[in-house]
Amino acid sequence: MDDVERGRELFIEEANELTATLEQTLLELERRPEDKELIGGIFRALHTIKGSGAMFGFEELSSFAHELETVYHDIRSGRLAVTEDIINMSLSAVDRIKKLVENTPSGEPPVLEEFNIAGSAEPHAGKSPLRRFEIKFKPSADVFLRGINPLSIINDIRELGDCSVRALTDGLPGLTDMNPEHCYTEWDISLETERDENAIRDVVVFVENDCEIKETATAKKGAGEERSAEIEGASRTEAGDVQSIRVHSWKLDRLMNLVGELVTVQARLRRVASSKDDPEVFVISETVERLTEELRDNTMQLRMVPIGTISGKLRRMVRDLAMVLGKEVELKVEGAETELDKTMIEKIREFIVHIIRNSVDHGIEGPAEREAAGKKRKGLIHLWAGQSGPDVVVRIKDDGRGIDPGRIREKAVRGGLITGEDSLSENELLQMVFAPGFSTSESITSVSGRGVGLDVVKKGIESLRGSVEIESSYGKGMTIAIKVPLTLAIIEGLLVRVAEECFVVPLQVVEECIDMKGKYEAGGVKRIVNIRGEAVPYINLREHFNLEGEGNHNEQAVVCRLEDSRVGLVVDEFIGDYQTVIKPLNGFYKNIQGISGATILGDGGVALILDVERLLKIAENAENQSVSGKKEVFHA
Amino acid sequence: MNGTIMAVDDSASMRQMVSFTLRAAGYDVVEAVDGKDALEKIGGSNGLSMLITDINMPNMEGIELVRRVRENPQYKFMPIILLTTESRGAKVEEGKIAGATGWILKPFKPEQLLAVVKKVLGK
Repeated sequence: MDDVERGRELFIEEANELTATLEQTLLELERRPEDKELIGGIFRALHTIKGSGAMFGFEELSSFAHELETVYHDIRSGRLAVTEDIINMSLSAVDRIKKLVENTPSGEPPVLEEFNIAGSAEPHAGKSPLRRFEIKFKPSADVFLRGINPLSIINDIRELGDCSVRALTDGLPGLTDMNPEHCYTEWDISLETERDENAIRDVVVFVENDCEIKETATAKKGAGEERSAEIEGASRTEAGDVQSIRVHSWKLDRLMNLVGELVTVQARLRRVASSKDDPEVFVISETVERLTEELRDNTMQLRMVPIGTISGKLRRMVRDLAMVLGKEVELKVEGAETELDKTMIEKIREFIVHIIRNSVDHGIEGPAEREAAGKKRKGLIHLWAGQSGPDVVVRIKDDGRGIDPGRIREKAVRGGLITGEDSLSENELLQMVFAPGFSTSESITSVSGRGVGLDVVKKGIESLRGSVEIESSYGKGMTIAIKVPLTLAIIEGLLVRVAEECFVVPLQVVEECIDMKGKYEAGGVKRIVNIRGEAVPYINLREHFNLEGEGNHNEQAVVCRLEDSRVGLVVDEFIGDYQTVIKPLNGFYKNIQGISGATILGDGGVALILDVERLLKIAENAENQSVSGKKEVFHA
Repeated sequence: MNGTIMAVDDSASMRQMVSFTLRAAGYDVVEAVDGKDALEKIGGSNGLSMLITDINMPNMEGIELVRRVRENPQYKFMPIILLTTESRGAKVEEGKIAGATGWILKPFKPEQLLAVVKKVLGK
C-alpha cells in the first residue's frame, strides 16, 4: 500500500473519531445551549474535517463540512442562537458527513436546507472498501505431484492485499514416515483486500477444493462503533508522538489462545517440577510460573475495553427513538469506565440495546401520561455499570410504568402457564416475563417488536455464564440487572479435593480457608459454622454432590464472600492455587446446581469449577432442605 | 528465455493460437498433434517447463498422456494444464487424479492463457 493510500486511511480514521465526538458534543449542547466551549469544539472539529478532507480527495465532504462550519461560526459570534431545530439539523448533517467519509454516494439535496430528523436508530454501517477473509489452505498430500507449488499460490494471494500467513506443521510425520514428495503443511491466511471472494477463488482455482474461504467481519469504519477489525497504524498526538497503536482484534484473539495454552502447560510443568527432586528445575519452573502469570494478566488487560464504547451511541439512540415515538426520554450513563473483555462487550451489546429499547418503547410513558401520574415529563433511563467480584454488573433502571403484576397473572393464566388458583408471589410473577413467548404488550410496535424477547436475552446472558434479574414497582419503574463474568477465558482458582473428585473455587470469591474441626454448631437443622463470632452458613460438598464415603472428620472449609453474604464450602483437602483455562460444560450438564464449568488438570484429570453464587443461594435456603437423616455432628 | 512449453492438440488452429500467444510472451513452444506424438517429442527434447494439452485426441487422449508424463521422474513436478470445455466435469477430476495441475476452459482468450501460464510457472 503506498503513501497516498495510507494517508487516506488515516484521514478516514480521524474523521470517524471526529464525527463520534461531534455527536456527543451536540447532545451535550442540547442541554447547555449557551456553552461556548461546546460550540468552539464543534467548530474546530468541522474545520479539521473540512481541511483534511480536501487534502485526501474528499471534495464533497470538504465543502459540506464548510457549510456546517459557517453555521457554527455564526453561532460562535452570537449571530445565531442554538435551538432544537439547529441541533436536529446538525445531527443529520453529522450523519451525512459519516456517509461522505465512507464514500457512499448520496443523491440527497444538502441537508442544511431541510430539517430532517434522523429516523434510524442504528448508525449506518456503509460499505467499506476493505474486506477481511480467513483462508484455510490445506493442500492434499500429493499437491506437488500435480506440479503445484503452494508457495506460489500463497504469493498470489499476497498480491491481493495485506496478508498474514501462518504455517501449521502439526501434520508433519516423523522422518522415517515422511515422504519428501508429499505436502504435510497447512496454512492459515488472513487477508485484507479490496477485492471480493471471486478474486481469491480465481487465484486458488486449481486447489479450490483444498481451500476454505470465509469472509469475516468487514473493516467497519462507522463512527464511534467499536471496531471489529481495526486498521493497523499509529495515532498521533499534536506533538507528533506515537501514543497508541491500533491492533487487529484477531491478533489479540490469537494471543489469548496461545496464552491459554501456555497457562495449561505451565501448570503441568509445575506439577512435574515439584515431584522431581531437582532444585534447579524447581526454580526455573517457579520463574516460568511468575512470567506466565504476568503474561496472562497483561494479555487479559489488552482485551479489556470500557463499557463506554457502547454506551456512547446509546444516548443518541434513545433520543432518536423517543422522538419517533413522541416521548421525551433521557439516558444517563454511570460507570462508563468499567472495563470488560472485548468479546464479552460485543456479546452483551445487543442485549443492552434491546433492554433499553424496550424501556423507551414500552416502559416510559408519553409526556402527558407522565404528568398526570405526577412524574417529570422527561423519562429517565439510568444505566449503571460496575464490577462486583469476578463479574461486571450492568443495571438498567427506568422510571416508567413498571410491570403490572395483574396483567402478567392474566397472561400467564391465559397462556396456561399457571392455573387461576395458583398463588404466586410478586417476584415469581415477575420471573414469568422471562418465559418464552411471553408478552404483555398487545400490539407489536415497529420499534422494538413485541415486549417479548426477554427470554432470548436471558438465555443469551446465561450462555455467557451470566445472569439476569428483574425488579419492578408497578407505576414507578423497572430495573433489569445483567451480570456477566469479566472474562470467559482464564480464571484463577483454588483447587480442592472432595472424596475422589477435584473442584476449583474461583479465587476472586475466596475469603479465607478454615479448619472445620470444632467449629460446627452442635445439632440443629441449620448448617452454620461459627467464625470468630459470626454465623456463616455452609455446604458440605460431599453431601451436595452425593459423593461416596464418610467425611474424614478432618474437613476444611473454604469461606467465600459474594457482596454481603458469605458461605463456607466444606471439602476434604486444599490442594493449592490453580490457574485454569475454562472449558464450558455442554447442555447435558448445564443444570447441575453449583457447577459453572470444567477444566483439565495437569495430569489430564478433570476438575469441575464451582458456581459459588448458586451454592450460596442454596446454603441460605438451607431451612427448606431436609437433612436426610445424616448426622452432622462434629465433636471437637 | 523463459523455458519450453509443449502444446498438444489435434486441432491445428488451437495449436496455432497457443503457440502464437506463448511465443509472443517469450516462451519457446513445441507442438504435438496427439498423446503419442507428444511422448515421442518429449523423449527427444532437452526438457520441458510445462505441458498444455487438449483432452479429446486420437491415438492417445490427454489424460492418458498426463499419466505417462508423470511416470517420468524428470516430470514429476512439472505443471500440466488441460484444455477442456467443462470446468467441473468428470474429466477434470480424472485429470487431477492423473496428476494434472489445472485446466483452462475453452473457449479462452489469449490473455487468460497467459495468466494461467504465469500463475502456474511461478514468478
